[in-house]
Amino acid sequence: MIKISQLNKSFGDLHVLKNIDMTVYESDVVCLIGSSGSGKSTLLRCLNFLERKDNGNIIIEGNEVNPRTDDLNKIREKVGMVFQNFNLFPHKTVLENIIEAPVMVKGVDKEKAIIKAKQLLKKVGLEDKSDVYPSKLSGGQKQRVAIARALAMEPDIMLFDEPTSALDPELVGEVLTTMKDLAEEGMTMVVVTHEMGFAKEVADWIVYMHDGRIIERGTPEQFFNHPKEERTREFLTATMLK
Amino acid sequence: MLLSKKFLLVLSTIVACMLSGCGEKQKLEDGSELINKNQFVFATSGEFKPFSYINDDLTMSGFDIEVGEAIAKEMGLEPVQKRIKFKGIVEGVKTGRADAAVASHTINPQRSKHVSFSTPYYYSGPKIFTRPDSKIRTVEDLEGKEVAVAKGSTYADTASKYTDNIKTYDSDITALKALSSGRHDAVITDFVTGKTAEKEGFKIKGQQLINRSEQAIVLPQDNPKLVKRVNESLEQLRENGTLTQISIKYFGEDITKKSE
Amino acid sequence: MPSFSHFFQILMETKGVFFKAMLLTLELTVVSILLGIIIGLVFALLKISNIKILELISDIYVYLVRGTPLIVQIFILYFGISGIFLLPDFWAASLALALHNGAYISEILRGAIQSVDNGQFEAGRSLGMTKTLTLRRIILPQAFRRALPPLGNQFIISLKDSSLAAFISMNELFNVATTLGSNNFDEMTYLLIVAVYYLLLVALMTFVVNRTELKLAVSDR
Repeated sequence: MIKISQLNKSFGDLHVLKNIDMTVYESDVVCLIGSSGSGKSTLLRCLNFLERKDNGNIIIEGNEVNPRTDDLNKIREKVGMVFQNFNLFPHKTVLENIIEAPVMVKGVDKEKAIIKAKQLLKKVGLEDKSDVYPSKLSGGQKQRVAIARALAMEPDIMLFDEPTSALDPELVGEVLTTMKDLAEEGMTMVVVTHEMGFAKEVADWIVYMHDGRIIERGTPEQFFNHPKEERTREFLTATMLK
Repeated sequence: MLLSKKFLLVLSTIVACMLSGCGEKQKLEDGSELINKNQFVFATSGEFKPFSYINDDLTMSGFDIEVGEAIAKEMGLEPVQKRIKFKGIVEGVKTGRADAAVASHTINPQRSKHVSFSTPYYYSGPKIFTRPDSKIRTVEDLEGKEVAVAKGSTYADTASKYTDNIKTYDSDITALKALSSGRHDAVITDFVTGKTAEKEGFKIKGQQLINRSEQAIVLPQDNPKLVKRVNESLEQLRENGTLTQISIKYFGEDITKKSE
Repeated sequence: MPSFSHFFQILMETKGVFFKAMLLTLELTVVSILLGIIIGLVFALLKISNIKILELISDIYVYLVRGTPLIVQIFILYFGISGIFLLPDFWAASLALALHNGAYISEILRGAIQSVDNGQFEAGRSLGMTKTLTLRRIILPQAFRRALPPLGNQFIISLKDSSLAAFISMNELFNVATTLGSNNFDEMTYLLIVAVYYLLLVALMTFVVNRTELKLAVSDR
């Protein structure tokens, strides 16, 4: 569904993504892992064009995307994103957060949007919080609302940028559970995460990045038990996962 | 602790000196009082050409100025010009910011309650000025119209007799300028002032001369000896023709004598 | 200094005249603030547009307006351009005030907009919202909330600046005070009275701004 070839991205003199090739198929759950500065977040953000590539191709559903001529907004309607810092709209209630984009961007009838929103809230376990303001929610609750908000646009693919890194340990579980449910429903997901347990259990593919390159790619079984590359082995040892 | 007490003492002494310094006049042998023994400080607005106007070097010139200087010389004092906005002159003389004012003040009962007047030093009168294309001729035509005047002038009182719609400016010249540029319906001001402005190119035209007025020097009420001295000097200047001379210099005619 | 009884007597006598003038002062202030917010928003958006020429226009405007005294600007609009175009006094004053306010407000709004976390913008965009939509629905509401305290301040400054309209013959509070003061040879009393009216208006404005802040803060704690 998404194919990236020879993607390069630099921030000034810093060459952050070096000739990245990657393919994500429908219903895949891909976990991007690696140390900070490896470029995994940047790669994720290139997928919904929040970061602009310098060169290389990004092909979505068979069509190569040209950031200069294509309507990126339309593309982003189909690519949902969940941020490390939630980024909920503080001046709107939970319900308003979720119906905002469907109503304003897709022109969905407000009543219909509200019904859908409540369904989504039920799905993430927060149906009683619809009229609450984000400031009154815990981190885990905020992130689940953020997931519901992204899902409201009925995306084809969901991107998660370290969704649990900003959460207290006790709250991580509820978010991962929601993500797991989503994966089981067949959603295509690309997740940047440090949660190795989640990756092992839910991912179809693990992609390990270091210093701007993809070092190794494999199924969880292959990756964690039979890593091919030296660098991968070092990483796994350092994180005590071997 | 000591330092701050001392500081307070010094500060309050300075403040006391400053406060007492205001309004303290010097008394002369003949009983009259002046701010400074050797000076005649006279106030005028500088905004009433040709009676008073400001030169490029920021000194003032004009009929009123020359009369003020002549009087000072006649009294054996050094003339000192003081510029005060017209609306604040009467109060300025009352509170001692100037010894007197030579600023074309019309003698009227309201002002006489607060200050004294010398004998008249010229005779003139308020006139209606309009733009050339205006249909206003007399004071009756002013009803409901917008009239601009200088603040604190008798013209403001005059205007209020005929219309409610009055706009005030600090200076008559500004009012005439506004009229000339298309604002307001009429201005009431001294006919000499308006005539001069017209000559200088303002797009205005004189209409009815409303009445005759006597202009005199403003002096403090509590200083009768000074009033006497000034009147004596004025009389001298009338007799020796100085006053007439100044008038002819500015107006080509003698406005210092009452016309028949 | 006038005695208190004299002051009070005149205060009562002149109620009608000053009340009318107060309405005019309020009118000038409100119009100039509303226009000022629109102007300020436009120039704030120009400044953050990332298009060099637009940023330059905004910089020039702010520099010119902040760099010259308000009274000069009022006189230019009233006297100066009267050769080309005759602006009625109310509009000369409110326009000058609005343009003047606009410069300061543009800086206030720019700061407020930039203080909104960039993540908010990214969230909006990631949902498929255009830059404009995100700005309008997500960023600006949050920015305005943050801008309220300094805007309220500007409101009060604008109220006091309206006194300069006296110099173009508008019968607002300050003009009425000085006119009556000189007519009655009693400037001090009337200046004290007008000070009371200004204090009243400022108190009213402060109250309105505070209430608005409270109402909008419902969404935060």
